[in-house]
Amino acid sequence: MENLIIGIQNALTLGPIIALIAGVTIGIFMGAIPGLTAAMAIALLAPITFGMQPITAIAFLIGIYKGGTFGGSISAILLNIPGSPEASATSFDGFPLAKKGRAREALQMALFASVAGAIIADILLYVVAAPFSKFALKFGPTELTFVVLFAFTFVAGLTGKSIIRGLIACSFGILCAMVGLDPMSATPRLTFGFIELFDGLSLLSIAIGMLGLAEIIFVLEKKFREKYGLKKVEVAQFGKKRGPNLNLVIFFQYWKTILRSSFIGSCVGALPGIGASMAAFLGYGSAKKYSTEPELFGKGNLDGIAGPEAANSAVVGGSFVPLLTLGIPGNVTTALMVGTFLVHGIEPGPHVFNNQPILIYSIFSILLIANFFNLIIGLLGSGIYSHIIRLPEYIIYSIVGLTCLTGVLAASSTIFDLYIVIIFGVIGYFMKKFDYSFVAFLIGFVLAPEFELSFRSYLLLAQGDPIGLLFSRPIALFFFGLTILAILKILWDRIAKIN
Amino acid sequence: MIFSLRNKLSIIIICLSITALIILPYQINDGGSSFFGGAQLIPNLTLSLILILSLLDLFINGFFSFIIQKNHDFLISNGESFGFYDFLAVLLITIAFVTFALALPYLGYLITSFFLILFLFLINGGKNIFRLAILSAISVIFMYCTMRFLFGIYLQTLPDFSSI
Repeated sequence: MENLIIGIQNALTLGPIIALIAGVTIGIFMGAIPGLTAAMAIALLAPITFGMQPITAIAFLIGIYKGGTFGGSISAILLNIPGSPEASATSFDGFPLAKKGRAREALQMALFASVAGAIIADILLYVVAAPFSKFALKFGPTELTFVVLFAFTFVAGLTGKSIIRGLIACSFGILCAMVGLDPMSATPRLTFGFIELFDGLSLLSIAIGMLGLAEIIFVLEKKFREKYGLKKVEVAQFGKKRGPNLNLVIFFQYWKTILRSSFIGSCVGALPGIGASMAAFLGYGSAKKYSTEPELFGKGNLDGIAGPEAANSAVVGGSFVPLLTLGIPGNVTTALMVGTFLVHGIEPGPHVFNNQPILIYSIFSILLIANFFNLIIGLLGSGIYSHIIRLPEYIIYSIVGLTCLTGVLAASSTIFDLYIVIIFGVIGYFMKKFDYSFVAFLIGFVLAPEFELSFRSYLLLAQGDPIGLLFSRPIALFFFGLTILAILKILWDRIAKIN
Repeated sequence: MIFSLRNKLSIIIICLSITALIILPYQINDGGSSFFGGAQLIPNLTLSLILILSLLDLFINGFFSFIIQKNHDFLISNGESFGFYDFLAVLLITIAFVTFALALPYLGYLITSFFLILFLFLINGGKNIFRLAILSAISVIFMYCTMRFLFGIYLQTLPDFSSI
């Protein structure tokens, strides 16, 4: 209880509050612009958090994450272009409402549902995380090996169109993480004589290259195609009337949808690899299934906004469960957060609950407080944001290009890292183009050091009999079984889809 | 379409994996430690996995392309095509960013960033070069001042030819 109070006090100091306000503002802005995501914002802005206090840095990133999740709905509702993939389902009913002149109502429903979903998920995180971390403390190298293996398979199978290419991307991510000194023998690996590579490839440079630079190449390619008439890009129409405010009595009529979707989002967030987009579609689907007016879905039903928005925002809280209890990031955003956590000397995992309980409670408090700022900034700023998202694309993406390079320079001050950004920007472009999941790559890259250490320790402990050791460890065996089941289920679904 | 773009990419990945597997022992000196505890273990395993999975991907796609005659159209509709304009986009951005990295130590952040952002404005469809130049200057100065005065991060300001 004492730790909780100190945690709340820490979160309510000036630094984290300012960082939250800035983070939420930037997050909503980045989320609202189609093509730019909260993950990209975190990759670009993580370098500036290195000089901050750990709790301030975390508050800034959480603000971006929360703001970005809601921000995507602004362009989905106003322009019929989802600002982020998880807002796709919101556009189904949001845009028809905007066209009817009820844009304000739709935006406010998205905001309120988003905040309500996030609060419910944060409370669930608070209830679940501590007991689960106590259980996770029993994990040794054998258990960790199979937990991480399960995460790899799950992420690789669910984040792209092909499980094979997902696994290739994940393996490539692990391989890239092997660059540098071997953690056990300090032998240089895959450095090709470059001293700059002895510390390994920087997560930040890779993320900036793959998220920022690859997107700029994509936009440019789209421009060329449009210019030369190869592929016409649809431009959505926007109703100019904003319409009335959302009546709070009406909002509370949707409490069942919000509660259900929040629970769905929390569960989806806790599973690595599924992501907020899937949660949003599940939220939309369940809202439609239990609605008394399912025929109105797609024509401008507020239920169709509340469902996906509550679900995709609940993913944020849910995704912190595996991150804080096992040290396993479930999506790109949390994977990038791990990098920042490590820079500040915080190693996510079950031990952090024992070693830094105040920090954990500060993070919980920040997650909850961020919802309040999301609500205020979302309410006050949605009008401004709706104008900003109409800025010409060439201005936005050119500035993003410069921010990519400035961010890397700020973080490392070496030209070598700029080349890493360029190389991984091109690789990221091709990976995206040919559906080699970037998420699987990044999760592979982030978890590889942990996986390598636990896997090599497991082999040494096994003394030539790894299968025997596996069968003597029920938790490891359980996760091994889950991995096999996950592969079979994913393959089964793919075959069913082809048929 | 056995030699579809996707399959060609798989073949490239297979060739790269084989090459990497060959050069791996020269890149990682295990110092005679056992394979299972050694530094080569994970790189070897991941490269082998990439090789096997790419072969499998190639086989499955090749097999399905016999069955699905419209494979090529399917691939294009999924964005899996790579034409002249795609190549041009990659080339222009790469050249712009590499030039930035090469010129930065000599010309400093302000000048290189100004030209980079102006170039990006122009290739992305900006029209009025005079207005774009002003916008570029403002963006660069804003970025520089944010880094320098708000976050205390020093970026080389002015040209420095002393290292030539």
